[in-house]
Amino acid sequence: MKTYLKILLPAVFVAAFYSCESDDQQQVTTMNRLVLEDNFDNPGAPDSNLWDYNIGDGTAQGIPGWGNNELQYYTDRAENVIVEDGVLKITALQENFQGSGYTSARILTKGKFQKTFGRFEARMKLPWGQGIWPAFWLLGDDNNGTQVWPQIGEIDIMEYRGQDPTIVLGTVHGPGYSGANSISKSYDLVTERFDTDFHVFGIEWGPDYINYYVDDVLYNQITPDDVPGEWVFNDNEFYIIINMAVGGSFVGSPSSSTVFPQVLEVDYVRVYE
Amino acid sequence: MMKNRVYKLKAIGSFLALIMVLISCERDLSDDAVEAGFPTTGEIFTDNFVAMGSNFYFPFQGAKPDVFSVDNQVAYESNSSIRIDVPNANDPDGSFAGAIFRSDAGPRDLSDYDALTFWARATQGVTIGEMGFGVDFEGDRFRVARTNVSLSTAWQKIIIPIPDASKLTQERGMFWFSAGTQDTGGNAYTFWVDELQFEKLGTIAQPRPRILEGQDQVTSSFTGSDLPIGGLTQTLNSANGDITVTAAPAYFDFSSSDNSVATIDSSGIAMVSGPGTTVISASLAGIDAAGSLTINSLGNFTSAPVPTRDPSNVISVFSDAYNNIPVDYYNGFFTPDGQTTQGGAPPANFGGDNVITYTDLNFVGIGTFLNVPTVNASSMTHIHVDLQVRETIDPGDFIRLQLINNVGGNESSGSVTLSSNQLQENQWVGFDVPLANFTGLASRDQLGLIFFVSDSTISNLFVDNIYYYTVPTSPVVAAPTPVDPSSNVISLYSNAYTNVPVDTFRTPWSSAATTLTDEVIAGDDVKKYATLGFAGIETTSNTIDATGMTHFRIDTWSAGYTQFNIKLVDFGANGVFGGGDDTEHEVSITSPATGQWVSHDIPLSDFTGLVNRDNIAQYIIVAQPFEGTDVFVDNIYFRN
Repeated sequence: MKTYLKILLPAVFVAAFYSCESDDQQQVTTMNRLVLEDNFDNPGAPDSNLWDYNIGDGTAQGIPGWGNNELQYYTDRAENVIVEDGVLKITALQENFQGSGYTSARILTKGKFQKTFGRFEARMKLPWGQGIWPAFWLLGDDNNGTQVWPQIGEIDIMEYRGQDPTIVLGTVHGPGYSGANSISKSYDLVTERFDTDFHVFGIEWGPDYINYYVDDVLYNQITPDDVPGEWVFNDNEFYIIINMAVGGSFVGSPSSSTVFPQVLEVDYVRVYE
Repeated sequence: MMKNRVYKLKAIGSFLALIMVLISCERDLSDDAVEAGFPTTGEIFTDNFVAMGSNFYFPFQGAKPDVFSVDNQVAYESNSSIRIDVPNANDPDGSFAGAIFRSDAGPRDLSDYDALTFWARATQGVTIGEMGFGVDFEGDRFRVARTNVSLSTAWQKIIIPIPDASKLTQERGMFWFSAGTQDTGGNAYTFWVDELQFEKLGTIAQPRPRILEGQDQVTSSFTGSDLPIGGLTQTLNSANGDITVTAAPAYFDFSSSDNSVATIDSSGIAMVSGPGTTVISASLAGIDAAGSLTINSLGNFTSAPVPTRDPSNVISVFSDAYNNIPVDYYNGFFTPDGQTTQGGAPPANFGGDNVITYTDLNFVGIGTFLNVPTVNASSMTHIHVDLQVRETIDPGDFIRLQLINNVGGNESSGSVTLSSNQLQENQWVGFDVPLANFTGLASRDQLGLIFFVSDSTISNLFVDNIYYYTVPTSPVVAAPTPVDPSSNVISLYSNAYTNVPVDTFRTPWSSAATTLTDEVIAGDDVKKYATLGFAGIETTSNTIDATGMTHFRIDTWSAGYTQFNIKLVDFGANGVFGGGDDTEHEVSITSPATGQWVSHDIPLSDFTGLVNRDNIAQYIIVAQPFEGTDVFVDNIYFRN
């Protein structure tokens, strides 16, 4: 409640109700000048002017299992990542591929769109089931490899465990507060689920603050006072990552009841100043 | 559609919500204008029963009736709860607790809810067999059960999802449970239920309905068969994981890919109506159910011949013609012993004809030794079984019948092998095997197992009419009374006619072992030829002119003959034996039915060697095994 009260007074709430179809458009934000928008309206591969891919199981990057014991192999195949029906679809498949038991995709804007501060949000419908781990997050630039995680900073706008279909988490990682010691808060829809409808996941990030919201609900603010180490979010440029992992230490492995394929649908990604 | 969401900025949120309702969403308004229906009350028990009327508690048959009370000391919220005292297994008033709570205040419309929920705890960790709703003792049309509900000593919320709430527009079955003491070694315990209500949780999603437990099954069948589709479940994901409930057929929409082969009704019973192949599938609320049944219908089913033996001489194991003895099973599934055989559990019903249909046969046993009396077949002489091999029969294929007496005790067994040339593909063959042929079967007073063994040489076998029987040594009923008009008959021996003079019914030159006595069976005179080899009957004094006749009739009864012959001899114009003008012919009847009267009505034209028929004087009867069986004879006459 502390952070909630802090943001309540200065915030201007723009609630944009369009029509019965266009739900979930209420935003709890101050930054309204659009600087990036991908509505995923052009069928095919994601726009290469904005998006790149991480390929593989992390071994080539020196972090097998992408640092989290994840089980999937990321590809850029249409089976795993495609724009169609007005949405980006990242699909996790159960298949033997390059030594892994699952495939999925991870797209990122590294070197194509990077920014300090702003309001980053995506409208997404999440997958579900034990061991499914989608994320919408930002990672700090490593200055050509001269800096390493967690010094570069990580802002997880949305993480979610498929076995907890009503709960998402917003988290920051930095020096002295990474991994299990990261600063995190969950948000529970309680009477709805994230896998049956689209929801908006966003942060509004400015000097010395990151505000977390889902739909029209602001559920957390993180400031330098909240982190037990250096605040690394005032200078560095960050890029966007959207992915769906299968298994891993955060979520646990899929079970026999996990249904495949699983699809993460992204209606849009927008960035405002 | 606008959602009920939490507005942190309440004033603005409410204001915008109000505007939204006013300026858009006409659909919302029309949706709100619902027709009047039944009450939508969700609460069943909170602090007390809610809108349940007064007479709402009905125990199951066999359950201890008075297990339910309202406990004013224990509660999850407030100070009362539903208390169920599950009885000891040996409670004389009932070995388990089970009851329904049926709304006595009329049906409710539950279509806006997605689950029945309640808080529960027990006096110890225990698994409740079944809990659910939709049981009203008036058809239980929308029965739902969550099985093996685990309760602990702490209060926890139990969720029973509704498979498809749109079906529940007028439901009276609010809650039911069935709880035994399997978990507690037969010892009583208590559990409490509080805040029992239908709820719109909003978090129940990802439906995965199943039929046949999600399996794609294939079966062969025949026209007229009814195949119930079981294994009906709905799995839904809650905020805490998957929950599977068993769901009544009425939640499903069944379909058959070819209605000319089989149709399926709303109760989930497929009715085979013609030859061909059809696939039975289902959906629930528009979601395809996993699992299917492919029916390969072979068309009309030819039943095995209906047994005709007198029931008083039969111990029937499996036949629609008799009252069958109870059996433990028609397939013991001795899987640990390497059995592969499927089927027989239960037998198939082909248009009212029950047939045991074994598949993947290597061996299979029919048991009468576990929970039912063993079979005392000491007074029986034969076992009958009808077999139909449902596949190509190769040389070397066989079915071995094995009988085991006193299973697990002073056990003895014997077997008889039916070889490939005795069996027929897709045809019933009846076997009557003397029990004496089961060498090694020292006794048959406690028969406990009948085995069919093929060692996988034959995989698909239909079995019907398994019974032990004895052939009585003499008939207990009269031979059929002839109906031929007396004006058309020349009768030698019958109570139905005036008989012509007969010189003898046993000539001196008959088999020495064959004795003739006059007997009365059920008021009817018959001739008994004991240990018949051959015997002569003569009308030498008054030879018979049968030139106006067309048939020779004779009724016989024997417990054991395998062949019966009748020879007619005409003495010719000289009217005496010999002299060069005698003509004769012998007709042979093989495998006459035993243990019952058989009427032989033989065209005289069959007696081809009997050139003359105007001086018939001799009638010689012969039986096989020679001098081995008694033959009773009645109604000897010529007719036209």
